[in-house]
Order: sequence, then C-alpha cells, then structure tokens
Amino acid sequence: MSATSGIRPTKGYLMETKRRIQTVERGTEFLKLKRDQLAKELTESLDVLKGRRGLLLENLEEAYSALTAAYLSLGPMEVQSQTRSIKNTLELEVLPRSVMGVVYPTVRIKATPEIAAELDITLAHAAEKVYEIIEELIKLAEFEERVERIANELGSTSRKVNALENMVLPDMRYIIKFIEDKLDEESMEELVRMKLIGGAKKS
Amino acid sequence: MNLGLEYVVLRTHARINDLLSVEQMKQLADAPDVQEFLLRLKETTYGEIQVEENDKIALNLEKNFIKKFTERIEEIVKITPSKMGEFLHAYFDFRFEVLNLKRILRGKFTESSSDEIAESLIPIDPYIIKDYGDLISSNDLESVVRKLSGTSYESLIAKLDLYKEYDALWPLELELNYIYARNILKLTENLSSEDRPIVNSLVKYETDVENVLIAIKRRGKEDVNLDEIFPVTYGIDKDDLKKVIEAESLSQAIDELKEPYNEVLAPIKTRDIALVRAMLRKGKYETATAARAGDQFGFNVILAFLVYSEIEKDNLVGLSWGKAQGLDSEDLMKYIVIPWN
Repeated sequence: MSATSGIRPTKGYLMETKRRIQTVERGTEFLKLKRDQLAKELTESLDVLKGRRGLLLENLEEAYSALTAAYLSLGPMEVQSQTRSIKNTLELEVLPRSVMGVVYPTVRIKATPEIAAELDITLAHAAEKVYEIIEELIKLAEFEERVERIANELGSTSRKVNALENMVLPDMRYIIKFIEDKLDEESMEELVRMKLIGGAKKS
Repeated sequence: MNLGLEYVVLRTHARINDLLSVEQMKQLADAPDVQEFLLRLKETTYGEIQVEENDKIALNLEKNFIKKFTERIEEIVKITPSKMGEFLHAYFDFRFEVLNLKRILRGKFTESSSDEIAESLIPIDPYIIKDYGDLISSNDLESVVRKLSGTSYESLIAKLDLYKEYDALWPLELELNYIYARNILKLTENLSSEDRPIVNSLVKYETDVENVLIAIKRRGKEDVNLDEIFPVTYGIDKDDLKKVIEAESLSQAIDELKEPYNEVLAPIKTRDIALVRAMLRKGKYETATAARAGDQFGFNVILAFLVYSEIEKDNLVGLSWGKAQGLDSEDLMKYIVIPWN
C-alpha cells in the first residue's frame, strides 16, 4: 500500500500533517539524544563490567584457596558442623530503579550472617572471603542486568530512530509534498476554470 | 591386660615405625584421584578401606580414619598399666567427646534435625555422657546443657546466661575447651611426676594458641571482657592477649609474643591463617618428640606415638578430602605436617 492511499488532499489535512511532522521530528531528536546517551552509558558500563569480572575471578581464586585451606586444616566433618552454627542467613530485597526510563532491579542486603563469632578463625577467614564474593556476585548480577536492559533499550531506541528517519518522516514528507502538489494542481485548475468562466462572460 | 610398662614401650617403639613415612604420604598426595589414593593406602598399614563412592566419600573416609585412630588408642590402652591407660583413654576420648558435644550444641542452636546432628558426630563411644542419643533428642539447646548437670560439664549451665545475652554459641564452646583443659590437667595428678610435664606442655600449649586465635577474632571490638573470654590462661597471660586485641599492628603484637607462640602464629602476618593449624600440629609434634627424646623408656613414648597417630589421622583426612576435590599434591602438602623422618 502506498503512503498516499487514503490521504485526503485538503488544506486542513496538510496543516495537521505539518504539525505532526514537527512533533515527530522533535521526538526523533529526543530519541537520538537518548540513543547517544544510552550508547555512552553502555560503553562505560561494559568497561566497568569487564573490570569487575576480572576482579571477581581473582577474589574467587583467593576465596577458594582460603576455603580449601580451612577444609584441609579442620577436616570436612568439623567444617560442616561449624557452618551449621551460623544462625542468621543472608536476606536480600530486590527493588526497581530507573535510568533514562530503563527500569532495572537493584538488590539491597537486609541481613547478613554473623560469621566471625561462631567459626574457627581459619573458617571465619574463608567464610569472610566467600561472603565478599557473594556480595560482589550480587553487585555484578545487578550490574549485568542493568547493562543488558540498557543494551535492549538501546537496540529498541535505535530501531525506533531508524524507522522514524527512514520510514515515517520520508513518508510524511512525501504526503506533505503530495498534498501540496494536489492543492497546487487544484488551485491551478480553479484558476484556469475561473479564467475560462471569466472569458466566456466577457465574450 | 596389663603387661608392664617396658613391654608397652617396646610395642610402641615398633608401632612408631609403622607410621606412614614422608615418602608414603607424598605418594598418597600424588594420587590422581581418590580411587588411586585408596589403592595406594591399601599398600600401607591401613590396608583396604571400603567406602561408598558418592558425594560423602570424604566424610566417610574421615570417619574411617578416626575409627582407625581410636582402635590404635584402644590397642595401646589395653596393655598399658591401669593409671596410665586410664589417663590416655581420658586424654583422647574426652577431647572427642567435647567435639561431639560442640556438634550437638551447634545442631540444636540452628535447629538441625536429629539425623543431621547424629551424622555429624565422631563415631566413638560416649566417655562421660551416658548417651548421645538422649542429648540429640532434647527439645532445645538449653535442655541439652541442663541434662549435663552432675557431670564434668556442669559449669556449662552457668554459661547459659551469656549464651542468651549474645545469642551465640561461643561462650559454651569456650567453656567446653576450658573444661577439657582443666580436667586433663587434673587427671595428670594420677600420673607420676616424670610423666606430667609432656601432658602439661601439650594441653597448655594448645589452650594458649586457641586463646590467641580467639583474641585475634575479637580485634576491633570495644569493651572486651577478658575474664569472660579467657577464664583460663597459661603461657600467654591476659595482658598479652589484651595487646593482641588492641594493638594497631597485629604483626607487631604477634612478634612480641614469646616463643614458640610467635612462630606458630607467624602465618597470620601473611594472612595464611589456615597454616596456623598446621603449625600448631607441628608444635605438638615437636613437644611430643622432645619429651620422647628425654625419656625413651616410659610414658612419653606412648603419648608421643598417640600424638603422632592423631597428626597422621588429620593428614589423611586432609589428603582424602583434597583428592575427592581433585586438588594437586602441591596445594595439599602445604597444610600437611609429616615431620617424623
């Protein structure tokens, strides 16, 4: 179906279309700004994500070594028994947050386990390391989700901008030109008709 | 059966030679997996150990090694002169019972099931307590502690207030450590004056190191009640422990401790905290060896053998767990104390 099918070539429709194209052009500009900002945010976030993942891997190695050392020092039965004495568990709360209209989940730590008081110093050290990892993993998961949602929003915004720039706006401009041409044609026809009528009356 | 001290000492010297050598321990550590570890172990005095190959293989192996160790104690105690035998029985069985009590209390503290608690216990016969099952089936932790009334563990009841105040197990676990230390030192009165120093050294050394470790855990906390936390101190007094808690530099505080404690606790300076346990075992080994060297024909040899056996048990527990996890020998050997060659 062509862009002009069903179009009424009237002055009223032309004015309405011109008003609409202005709004669409402004909207496109806003979307472009949002796209650029999201792209900037995504680039920065990806750098941070890369750094955090590297750090997490290093800390994971450290935590694993500490845990291995605790098992080797105390034996698996004692480690299992001591870990049973930790009463409070980790409690989390997931809350929504928004950046440039992109809603992503943030995790708030409500309660933490009391590690140090109950465990042997060897195991307490390992447990602290593992707890640090858990905290980092939570932050990383939160950040990854944020990055993923920003990337999705960026994709969607880019598609919208492309559609507006390459499809909607050219179509609207074409419609405006089509209506203007039609109106010019009609006014020319009217002029010719008026002249013919005027000539006939004189003769 | 009492066959006289000379016979027991001779038997013990022979048993010391049966302990796993450094080479054997290294071969076990080099095993590529737990199956090969068990095959290599079969070639030693431990013989064939049959365990189900599932995710609890390391736990089952630990129980097996404890069983082998308690069998060794029984073998020696059976032929040792009565007073000495009774003491040795107490020295090890009391320790295992204290560990089992801690595990029951931990289970009750977090409301674990009776099966879980029973599963976590060291497979030994009760020593002072009549029946672990009765304690495990108690409604709550307080009932467990109250059931200990009239036994050597009675002083735990007085610690229930602290337990409630902090909602933490450490006051009870600390008290259990001190009950063990006090009772063992009291039991040494049944030994001859020549036989007491080795026990005194071992018990006091272990209590002192544990006290320092507790002090390190309390660092950064204000208003620490030293009398509450350290009711019993030996080689390291409360002033030293206070310094460890309050010192700005932990490394400096450790350096200022007297020998051998500064050496045992040195790994903490490099944050290799787990190595302290290996150093503690090494210290016990050295204490036992020095006492044995001073008296090759008496009680010291017997106790030294049992100390070595316990270290061997701990090593095998660590190695089997490491092999079940697929760890390399390099990672394992750091925490294994095998100094007896």
